Amino acid sequence: MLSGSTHGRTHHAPTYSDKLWWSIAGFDEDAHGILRTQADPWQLSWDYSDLDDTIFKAAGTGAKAYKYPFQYNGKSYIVWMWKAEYVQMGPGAEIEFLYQNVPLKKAGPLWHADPNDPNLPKMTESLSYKGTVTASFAPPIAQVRVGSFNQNAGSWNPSGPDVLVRNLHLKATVTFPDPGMYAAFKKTEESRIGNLWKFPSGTQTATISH
Amino acid sequence: MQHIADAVNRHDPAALKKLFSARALEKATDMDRGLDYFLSVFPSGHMTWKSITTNSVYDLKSSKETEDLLAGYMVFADGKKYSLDFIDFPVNQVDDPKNVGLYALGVAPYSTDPYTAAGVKKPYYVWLDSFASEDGVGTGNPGVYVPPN
Repeated sequence: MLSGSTHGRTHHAPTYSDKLWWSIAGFDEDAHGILRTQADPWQLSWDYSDLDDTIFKAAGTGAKAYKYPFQYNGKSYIVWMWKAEYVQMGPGAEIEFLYQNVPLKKAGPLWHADPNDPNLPKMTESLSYKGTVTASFAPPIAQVRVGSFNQNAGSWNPSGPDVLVRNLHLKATVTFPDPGMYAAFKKTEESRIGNLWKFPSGTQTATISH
Repeated sequence: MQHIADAVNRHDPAALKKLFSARALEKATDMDRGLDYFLSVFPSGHMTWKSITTNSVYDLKSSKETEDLLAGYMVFADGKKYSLDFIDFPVNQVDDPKNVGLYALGVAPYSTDPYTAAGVKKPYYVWLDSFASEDGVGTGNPGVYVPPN
């Protein structure tokens, strides 16, 4: 969950100042009002933890978060995903790749972002609402955080549909440039109870649907 | 995991059974035999363990929450190594308030290869996969699973 992506305002349609806020908050807005995460926003200097998800609780909205930690070369990594109704930002999804400089058994609650990591995977996400894609993002470069949000939908918009998280379907891909890191992630997930990740042969890409 | 290990160390099937959710106890078939069979894997009653990793799913809906932990461990007992996996719901306000606690618990000799020499998926890995679903329980059978030899 992005720190600062909800900012305590009551529900209303985005205004000019909202759009300015989005840019400061680390999002680019396209002509259709879809927000997408920037490659290197200043918020990446913040640590990430479960405390960020308490914002959803405070807003009284819906969200599902999925955490996939693994270890590679003595460091801990996590693929962290969300699908949610992001208040004024509408329904959206995010996938993030974070690390800690310790093995998993020593990993704590705070995860860090490194946008300059040469082994940062290239990630994509696509969010559908009742079978129709509502927002998606496939950046051409690897980014720590890949997310998109549809301001035109969601319960804040009186003209838009009511969005329930259960009607949101998230698809994501993670393509690892480092074959060793890919193998570590694949091995971890394939032996895990309830694994939903797929690993198409001949690639270094993991895919998942929620 | 500590609670599971404590029950194993004491060879206490009742203590292990108490860890399961009401829903799991309701739906599981022959839970008591499964518990005895699970404990028989550790005849000396002593185990140590190492966490492989734990996935989690956190579901929030109108201030109610459900957390689903999908945990994998490497367990050491009597000079042997095992895989131990479980699904646990520490809180379950969104989906099923009767499903708080362990839902499924399995143990098998440790292996890094999900397939047999003939290319068939091993029973333990079939069991692991049976829980693959959005709600973390899928079609997998609740209770205890120890694959046949």
